[in-house]
Amino acid sequence: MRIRRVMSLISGDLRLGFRSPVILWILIMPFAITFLLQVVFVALFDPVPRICIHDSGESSITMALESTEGIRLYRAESPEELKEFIKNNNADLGLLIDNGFDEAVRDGLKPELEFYFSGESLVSNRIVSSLLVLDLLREMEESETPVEVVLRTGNRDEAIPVSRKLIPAVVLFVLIVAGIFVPAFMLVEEKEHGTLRALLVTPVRVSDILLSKALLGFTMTLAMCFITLALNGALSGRPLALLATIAAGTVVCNGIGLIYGTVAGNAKTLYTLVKSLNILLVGPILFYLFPGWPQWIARIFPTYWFIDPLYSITLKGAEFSDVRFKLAVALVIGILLFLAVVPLSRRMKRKLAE
Amino acid sequence: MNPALLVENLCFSYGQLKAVQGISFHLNPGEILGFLGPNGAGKSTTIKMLTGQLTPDTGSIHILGNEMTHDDPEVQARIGVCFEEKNLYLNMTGRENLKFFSRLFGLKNFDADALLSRVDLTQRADDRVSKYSKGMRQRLMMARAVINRPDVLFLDEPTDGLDPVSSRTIRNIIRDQAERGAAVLLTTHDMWEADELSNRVAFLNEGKLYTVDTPENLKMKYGTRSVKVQLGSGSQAREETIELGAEDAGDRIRDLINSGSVMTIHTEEATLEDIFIEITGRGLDV
Repeated sequence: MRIRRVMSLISGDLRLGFRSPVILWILIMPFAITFLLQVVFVALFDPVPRICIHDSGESSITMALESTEGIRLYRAESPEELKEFIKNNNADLGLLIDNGFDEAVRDGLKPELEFYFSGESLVSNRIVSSLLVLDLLREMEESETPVEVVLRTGNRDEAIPVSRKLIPAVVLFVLIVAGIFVPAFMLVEEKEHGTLRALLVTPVRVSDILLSKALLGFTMTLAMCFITLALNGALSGRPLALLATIAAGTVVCNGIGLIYGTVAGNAKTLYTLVKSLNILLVGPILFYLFPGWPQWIARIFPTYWFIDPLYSITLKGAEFSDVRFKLAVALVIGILLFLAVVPLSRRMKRKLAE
Repeated sequence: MNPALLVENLCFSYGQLKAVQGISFHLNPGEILGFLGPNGAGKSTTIKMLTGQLTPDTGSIHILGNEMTHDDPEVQARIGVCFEEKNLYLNMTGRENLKFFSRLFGLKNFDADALLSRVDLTQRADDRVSKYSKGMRQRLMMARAVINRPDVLFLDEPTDGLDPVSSRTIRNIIRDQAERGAAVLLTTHDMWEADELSNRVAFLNEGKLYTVDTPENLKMKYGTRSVKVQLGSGSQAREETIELGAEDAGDRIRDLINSGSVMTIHTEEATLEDIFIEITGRGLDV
């Protein structure tokens, strides 16, 4: 009986949800955020060197560039097309390779190789592209570099691109918006329209209503987080560990959402609550951005206990066994939050009737 | 006959304000009890306690023989409530609203069309409620209240501020429900509506129940048994009041009619509002 009532409530919420601009925004949020990340952090901060090549013969440089990862290669049919391509800044570097270039290099004839640079290209891309081509020429000549180059990163992270570093923050954002806002908003909307009172004079109990909002919030948040991770290529080959982490995070966020929803009498109060208190939830992110701060402070925040596992799994390749203690703490916090909802829901019911 | 609703010594306070002070009454199956009182009399607070929305400070409520705790799903499955505020799902259609609530009551083979037809909403059944007029919303509220064919029906000002057509539709549904055996508790400050619909009326003021009786008994007790006869017209017009209890009342009325000068005859019974003022010392519109 109770399951049927809860399922009926969820079906009603789903029907209403797809007609609510707020819920629709939450549904398209992963796509919007991914698009933003790609545009802002990939296009601006992680630009890929672009090389355009016109090869009159069958140079091994062209073949080597075709199999090189981390660059974007274009082929021009004629020297004029290549020059036009560079002029329009469609590539950072243009290479004109004449027929018989490889043989001339091997014979030590020092043939001319023309580099065309786009005036609008990034200096870093010009350097990377040039070094890459010079390295391939050295390979073709079968000569060795005069030094042994050892690559070391200057910060504590293992050369993680900015766009990937931000993934835990993005997932936290999705967790907060979907995990907290969905149950809170749906509950407050029912209060504002008086429909909560109408439900409470049917066989539906207040716990059924809270459970239905939590279940819907849980499912939506889980789906949104996985879609966000998948779109950003951050599923990391450990879906079960991620599932456990996101599930624990969702339980915490749903608990907070239900508390917000039971306490706030209207949407205005809810927005005030979200604005004033959510800064406390994103606190742990600040400690990743400022590693010089005492890191133990981050553990005070309830969200730390699932953000840190998320960070470790998505960026450092941690296994479930590495993060299970922290996830257990997160789950306990989530359960405590749900227990706190019980007296608050009684207070809410009385206030509704008054 | 066991009462459908039995209320004993019910009390509720909002902080220091005593909203309901020890009221007791009963309601039989098939009976309509009009709960009359001005704004702030405690009518809505009483309904909130009876429907499980508020827990009484003291007193007991028995609905269909079951003691009503603050929210008992088994009892709530057998009651219907029509609120004063229009609390429908505005982004659902009328049909969707009814079907959604029918699922919450666990109703199988629910016929939404029949109910929508009963409240004259067939043509607008698939429009969103946000596009409904006030009268249409109230009719849909009434349909929702009777969706489970309740044994006890609580109606809080169901016709307040409605157009005459919508009011008539709702009054007809109330009568239908009583005829099929539902006990109906109707709160209103419209004495005419209470008089027309109610088998008994209860006068509530400042949280206290002053009296519960049939409208006829109250009129007999507090009104005067007389008729007012208007004779002649224009400058010749005059009025004569005849006490029906007088020995020659019949002869006097017959003489006046035979004289051919009678223009109108009106009974002079007291209205429920007059009686309410006499009993509580306060008007219904206050």
